[in-house]
Amino acid sequence: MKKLFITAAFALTAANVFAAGHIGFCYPAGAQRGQTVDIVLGGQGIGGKRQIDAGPGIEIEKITYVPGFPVPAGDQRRYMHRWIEALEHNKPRPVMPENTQFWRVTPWYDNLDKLNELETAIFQRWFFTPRNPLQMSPSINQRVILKLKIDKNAPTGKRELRLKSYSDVTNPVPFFVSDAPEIKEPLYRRPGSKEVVPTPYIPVPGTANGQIYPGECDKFLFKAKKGEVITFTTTARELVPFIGDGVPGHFQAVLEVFNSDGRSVAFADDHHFNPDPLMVFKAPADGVYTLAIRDAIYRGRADFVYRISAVRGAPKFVMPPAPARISDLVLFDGRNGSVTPPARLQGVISKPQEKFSFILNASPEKPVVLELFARRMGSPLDGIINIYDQDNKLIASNDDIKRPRVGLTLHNADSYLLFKAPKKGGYRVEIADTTGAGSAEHYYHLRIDFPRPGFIGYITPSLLSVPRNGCKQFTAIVERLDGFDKEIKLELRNSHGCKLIGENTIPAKSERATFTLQAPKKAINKLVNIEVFARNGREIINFCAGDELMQAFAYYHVVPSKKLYVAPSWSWNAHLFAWSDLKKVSIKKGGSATFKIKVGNLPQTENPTIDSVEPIDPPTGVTVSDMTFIDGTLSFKYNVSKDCAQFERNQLFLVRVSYDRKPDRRGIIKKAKNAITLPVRRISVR
Amino acid sequence: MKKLLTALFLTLLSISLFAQADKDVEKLNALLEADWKKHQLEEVPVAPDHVFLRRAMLDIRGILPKPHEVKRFLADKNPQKRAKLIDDMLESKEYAELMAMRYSDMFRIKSEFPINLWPNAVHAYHHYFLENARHDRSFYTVTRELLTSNGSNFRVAPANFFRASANRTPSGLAQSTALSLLGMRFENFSGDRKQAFEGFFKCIKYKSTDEWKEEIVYNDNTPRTIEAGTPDGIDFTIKTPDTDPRKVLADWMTSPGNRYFARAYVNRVWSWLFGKGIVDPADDMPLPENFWNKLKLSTPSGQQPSNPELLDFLADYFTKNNGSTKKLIRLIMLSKAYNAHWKTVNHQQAAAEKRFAVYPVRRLDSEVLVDIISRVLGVYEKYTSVIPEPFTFLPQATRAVQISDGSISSRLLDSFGRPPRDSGRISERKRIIDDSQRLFLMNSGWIYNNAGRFHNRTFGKKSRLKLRDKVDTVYLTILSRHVTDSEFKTIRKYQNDLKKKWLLWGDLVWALVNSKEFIYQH
Repeated sequence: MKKLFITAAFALTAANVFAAGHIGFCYPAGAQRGQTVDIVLGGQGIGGKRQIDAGPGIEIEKITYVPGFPVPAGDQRRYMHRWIEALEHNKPRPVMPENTQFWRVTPWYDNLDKLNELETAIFQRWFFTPRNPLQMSPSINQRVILKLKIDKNAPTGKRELRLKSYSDVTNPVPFFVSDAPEIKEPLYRRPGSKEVVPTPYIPVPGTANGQIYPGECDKFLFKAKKGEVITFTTTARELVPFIGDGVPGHFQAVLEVFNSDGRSVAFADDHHFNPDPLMVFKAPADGVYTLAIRDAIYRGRADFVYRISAVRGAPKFVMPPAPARISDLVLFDGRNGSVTPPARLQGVISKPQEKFSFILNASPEKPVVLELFARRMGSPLDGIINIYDQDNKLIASNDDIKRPRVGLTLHNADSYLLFKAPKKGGYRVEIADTTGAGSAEHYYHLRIDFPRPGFIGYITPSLLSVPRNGCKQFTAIVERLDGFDKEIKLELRNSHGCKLIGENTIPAKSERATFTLQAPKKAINKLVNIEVFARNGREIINFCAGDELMQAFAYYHVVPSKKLYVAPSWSWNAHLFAWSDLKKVSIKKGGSATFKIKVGNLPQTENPTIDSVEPIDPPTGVTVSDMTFIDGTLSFKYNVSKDCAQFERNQLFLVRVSYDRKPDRRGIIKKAKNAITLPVRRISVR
Repeated sequence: MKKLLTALFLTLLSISLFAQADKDVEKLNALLEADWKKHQLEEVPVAPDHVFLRRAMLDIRGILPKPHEVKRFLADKNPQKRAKLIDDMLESKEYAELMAMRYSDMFRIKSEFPINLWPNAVHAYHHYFLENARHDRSFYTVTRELLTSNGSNFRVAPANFFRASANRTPSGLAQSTALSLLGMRFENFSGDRKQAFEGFFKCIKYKSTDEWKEEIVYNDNTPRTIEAGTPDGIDFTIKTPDTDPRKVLADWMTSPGNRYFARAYVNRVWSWLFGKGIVDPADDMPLPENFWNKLKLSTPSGQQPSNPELLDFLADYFTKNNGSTKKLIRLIMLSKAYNAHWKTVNHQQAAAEKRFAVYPVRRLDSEVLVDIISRVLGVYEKYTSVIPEPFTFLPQATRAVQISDGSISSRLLDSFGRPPRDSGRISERKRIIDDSQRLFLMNSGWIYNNAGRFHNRTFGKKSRLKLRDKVDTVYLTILSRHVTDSEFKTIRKYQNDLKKKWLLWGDLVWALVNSKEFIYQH
């Protein structure tokens, strides 16, 4: 049952994102400029792509596709083991037995002596790790080795790295280009190997890269003098923020420092709300110390990759400036006085149990928005806003507010209040941390403003593989601001001939809606970027591209990326299916509506069959029935039960067809299946 | 000159501290002797050095001493060597690990049902106790943190105190707090005291985030008036959110005048070292006297201490030393009770055990026993958990004592009575020896096969050591003592009768591992 659930959950994740190849991890996830490095990408469907998109100054020198490793039979396995030992002792290859007819043949199995160090490590890790079917993860099984040359003048910082081909591109993964030296953990050595591998020194300043496999604890040495301060910053979750088939859905790194006697002298788990630990280490004595990193609960797998950056000195906290959305508001310090909106405040809850209060001048005619910007900006503050009337009675309060799951922040801790004053006057507003915490880093920006209805939009996935003669669905997610509840109409820019077909608005009050993008024949024949936007009055709101990733089998999060890609793809005769009309449909509860699809002349030589018509993710209480196909018209009933909740949505439909493939070498004809996406329809149920 | 004066000052200070410590040991011994005299118990001799060494190592570090450590200790003529041994052991990492295990039992550190702390919180919470033990943080400070912390279960470890309970209603939290920190059975409180004690927990709220299984503990913001009261009848009217009821409870709990808290904790520490408390079981402390108790018309619920003066003395000592667990352990381990032999005259054995006139013999705790067996055999169990994915694989040679999660166990540990940490009660840990354990020890291929490898692993294949020396090393490793002449004579004869002489070693190790001297703490 568990496997079924995992498979189903995985399939849902894979539906959009993995269709074009998915990179699960990149190791190492960074390099020093001026260097040529081997990096390993792990993923699914990443073979066959020979280019990268990683920003300026990064080129591929060589690309190696790691072949699959079919499980060898016992005698082949034993032979390979002997061969590996012979290679370690510089002995000749063992003589092969006569009967190898059932042996698995792969490029690497026959050429173990021609593998380089990295390839040997990859192969041996697979070979010597006991297989556990419950620990398999198809999403990261495939390997590609890239030899990257980083130009000495390449801009430093975080990049997005994608593999791409002429007509295809993978999801982005983070890649860092730095100035300081970088090392990797020692390559894998098989159990029983006599080779002594010294523990490497982490450069200070510099970065160490590694991977944590099950039960592993990686170690690096460093020297420090008594009183010297070194800051170790871990980047782990930022590299692979969400793992769909693992719980919790990310690598939970912990750092520990041991002195030369093996005693623990420092430990760091999280950094405020960030699971990636940050350790400010002050050496108690001169000596050589060991820095250890592992998963908090000793899990491990290939995508548990990390970077540990070491710099001298403690980090200096600098309060970030106000976010762009409120930077136009007048800054008010709020002390010993009252605030009349619009204005903004900034401050710090500097110690535990501290609260900050000011008087807000408000009147019933003009509701006031009080919005905290803290956690969204990286502050550990778990804000709460309380409002008291003139009798010091609590009349309004907000702790957390539900927002769409976007970005890496997992707790929407910033408070939001739309305050309608019962009468004109001054009201005491109190800002605090819900848990009573406080420190120099518990900063916040507070917006005190009249409502400015608007929205922020995201498009997922960031790659749309659109059939040249059909359409492809995507999802638009909006965060509605200050009570904005109208319909939102999407438009395209730099469309390359693509257009939105079917419904092109997000229904009023909805946070997400499905759309279909059509690429007419010859509109695009290569990978292109398009932009999606909407209007809020005169304001143009650009929608950010992203990928909706699953976390821990259950939650979905949109991870923003920089570009929205459209690639051509193929779908079986998709152009032959079209709605008879694209009118909006309104159905009463307990009722139904008939939909009709015009079907062109299907190629009869392929014995096509229309298997079903399916609504995708229909609300509870919706069913489809009475499908008929007569005289080129496919019709079906969309039924709504009496218990169905009221809704208005863009409903996506798929037509599932099966047809005969071309006969194979032996003349056998097998059935192929395809799902044809129809343009979305607006359906409302009252 | 300045350095000289500083050194002199520090020397005088440590002398005075040691002198004070010696006085405390004397007072403790005086209370014990008075009790033994009162019950006409004969004073038993002091346990020999090798017995004390093994006993102390197992109680403080959860491991056996190595052969060279035994030899060194036995050869040491320093009259203060036992005190020095205790001091060294209290600074070891194994001490912190063993104490973290004990605290984990006490505070129910378990990721899965029915506690549902979740693995990451288990790790954080366990590490918190590990660090507290390592640095000997005052248990008063720790208690205050446990009672008053808010925050994420992953990021603020003590916040898990109010999550580590199967029942998170005010009643459930009152029950788990009373059990863990006061050693009292909440179900035996009178009706009004139950309601009053629950009041301290009425403001606790929990909220989730989008991080898998993260939960934030915080206080309810709503202004209200709460009536709350302690078990000994002190009532409070608390206006929230200006005053946190938990802080009021923490103030009462950790005040120097609160004898219930100190007595419960020192009794628990005593039970860790002796296998049972001065109040036994250690989590059934007598409740505060009520009206009828004061009229002597009934006795308070809970067990009565076997030596009330001793318990009070330890509680005072603990309070005066600012809640230092290490100092408390040191004091107890230097007492006559801890240094006593395990045997006295037959007709007094039961009474002597009850009064701690002899050291009570008990089977070793499951984790410690499995660890020392593993150490002797040179093979450790592999501990994994299939609950979080990807799975948890604890590193090779992880000792059972080091396991942080009550949900990670093995059949071997469970069969020897490892507590499941469902309720936090002391009775969850089983120390009886039953037939399944005996059968395992006698018949297990894992034990016998690895016992056979002991010789080559310890001495090498081509060792030229004499038989006596080898046998002595085996005894030092397994029983922490030298082999006696009569034992050696028996062993030599046994080997002479064997066709394959090398079979001696597997048989000898097997026999010693199955001996009571190995399995029991004595």
